[in-house]
Amino acid sequence: MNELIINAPQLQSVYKRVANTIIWATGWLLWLYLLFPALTVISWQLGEHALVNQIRWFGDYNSLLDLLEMYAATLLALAAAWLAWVAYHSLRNPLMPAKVHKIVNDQHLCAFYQIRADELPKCRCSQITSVYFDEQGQIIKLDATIYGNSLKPVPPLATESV
Amino acid sequence: MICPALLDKLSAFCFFSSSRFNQWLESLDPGNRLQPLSLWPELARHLDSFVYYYPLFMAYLWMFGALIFYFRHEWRHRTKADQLPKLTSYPPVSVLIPCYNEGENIRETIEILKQQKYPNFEIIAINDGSRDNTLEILQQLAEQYGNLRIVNLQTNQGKAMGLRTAALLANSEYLVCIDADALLAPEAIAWLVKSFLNNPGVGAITGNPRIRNRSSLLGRIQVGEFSAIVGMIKRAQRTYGRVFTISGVIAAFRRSALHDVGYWSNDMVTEDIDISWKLQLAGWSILFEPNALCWVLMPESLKGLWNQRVRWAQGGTEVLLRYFRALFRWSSRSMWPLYAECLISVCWSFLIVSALICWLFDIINNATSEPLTLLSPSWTTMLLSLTCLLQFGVSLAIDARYEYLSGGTARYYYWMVWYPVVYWLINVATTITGSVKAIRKKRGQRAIWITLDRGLREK
Repeated sequence: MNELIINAPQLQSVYKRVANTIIWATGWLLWLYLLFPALTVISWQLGEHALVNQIRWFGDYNSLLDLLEMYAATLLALAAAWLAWVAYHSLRNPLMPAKVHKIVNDQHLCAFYQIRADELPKCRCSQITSVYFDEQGQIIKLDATIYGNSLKPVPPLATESV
Repeated sequence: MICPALLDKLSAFCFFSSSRFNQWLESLDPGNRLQPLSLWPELARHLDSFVYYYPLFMAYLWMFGALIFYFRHEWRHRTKADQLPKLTSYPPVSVLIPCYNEGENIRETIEILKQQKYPNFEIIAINDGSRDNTLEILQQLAEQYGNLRIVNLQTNQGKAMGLRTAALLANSEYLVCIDADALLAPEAIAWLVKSFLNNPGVGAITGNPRIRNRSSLLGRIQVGEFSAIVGMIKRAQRTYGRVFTISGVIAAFRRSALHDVGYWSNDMVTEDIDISWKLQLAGWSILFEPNALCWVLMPESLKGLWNQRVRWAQGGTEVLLRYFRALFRWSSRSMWPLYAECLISVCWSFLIVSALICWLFDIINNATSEPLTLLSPSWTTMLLSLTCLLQFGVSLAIDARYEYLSGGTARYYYWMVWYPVVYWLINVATTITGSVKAIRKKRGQRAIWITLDRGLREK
């Protein structure tokens, strides 16, 4: 798996590396900035009472508790709704009749694509099939050829019930 | 893959702006003299709440949904993706690879594909009128590999037409479609077939794309993005029962299901989103098989990323427009939440931009010190940031089992924190651009191949 991954930062231009570094620094600063209230409230809870003004600036501690309460209630409702949905489906699905579908056969395919029925098996055995279209995207000709002398027609795949 | 849904994550920056939007709306009618306008402050308050709470709500919705999927389908099954599943039978499978100017990639793709640990499969490479040496390479490979077949479209027709043609010529009921630059894990076909055999009502299965190129900041962020956003959304949507889209880069189809819905549409810019909707609206299910791994190349330049995301957004909006009427059928009710979610995401992006414009306009006109107050952090922005970090953490933890051979996902957490800065703003802009393009596009206009940036690689 490792050989599939391309990790070659040296292929980037100097300009791109500088730009990436700037975004890297900006990104972290932004996160620190956005999480500053969290750091503040944790410090305040740990006894750093000098931060009380910052707490007020962010909207006071009680409003934070109200907000958290609302969050908790919403998340609980959301989780309950998901679980109810999953339970409903688990009960309902075994009661639903299994979908029965017909496997499309070559006749249907030829009718849909408007091609001759004798052309299809020939094309399916060839290693190269050239396809010609009209302007509306309709197949007008199928040309089954064996490319090169060394190639043989492709044997049909082993059929197994599907 | 998608993506208006990606936009649901809100940057705190935009939250600050929404307050200005509120004030601007209020300023339209300061004395409430005009009756209709007296509703604005109330409306503005609701819009303000929507802009902030919607992405937060969606983040938790996805997190819970993905966790339920994980505990139901992944956690208790200790089988790893690189172990072969036991199958009751091995029906024939055709692997379809549409190619347009893929001379650089196709040899590697087919050589890796030959390592599949599945006994009964053929490869069909579709050369869609390439102008480079793709056909010559395919002919060389066909001489080497007996089960490689070439479908050569004499004129360029687009990916959807290529797939339609190959579906006709394939010898199998099960079709696995991959991109020409995608490397399929050796066990992937077996995992995909397993899901088909166990579920007769399943029309398609989407695999698990993993990012190969991780040289730049954008590449590394996308590794996290495909776990934190794409993988999480797919898991949550499967828990719900419907998915917005399969991943076009790795998906398997039942040909009978495709026939039932008329195959891929050739006039949709993202044929994968379109076929997902067609199948599900016709009553077929789509599953997500996380063990079917496929290693893909993603853009590593801003221009490449922009083009890709605009295309995804345009494809999402095209689907919203095309299947609006079909939603009125009662049998389509299971798709309503997905439709609503996509539509709301698009509206949300427009609201964000409106809010930003109002905010900038206000700053320029009033030049007050208030913006500084608005930009200061608060409890709400703190909770938004923590939610974001929690989402990244949860999703990377869920996804770690698919990355364990490449060193795990933990280190990408370090890079993911850049996601809001780089991606959210880009995604808002691409959604708006893509939506406008979709609305302006003439119906029936053929979709064409778009050459994507495939990131940094040694030539």
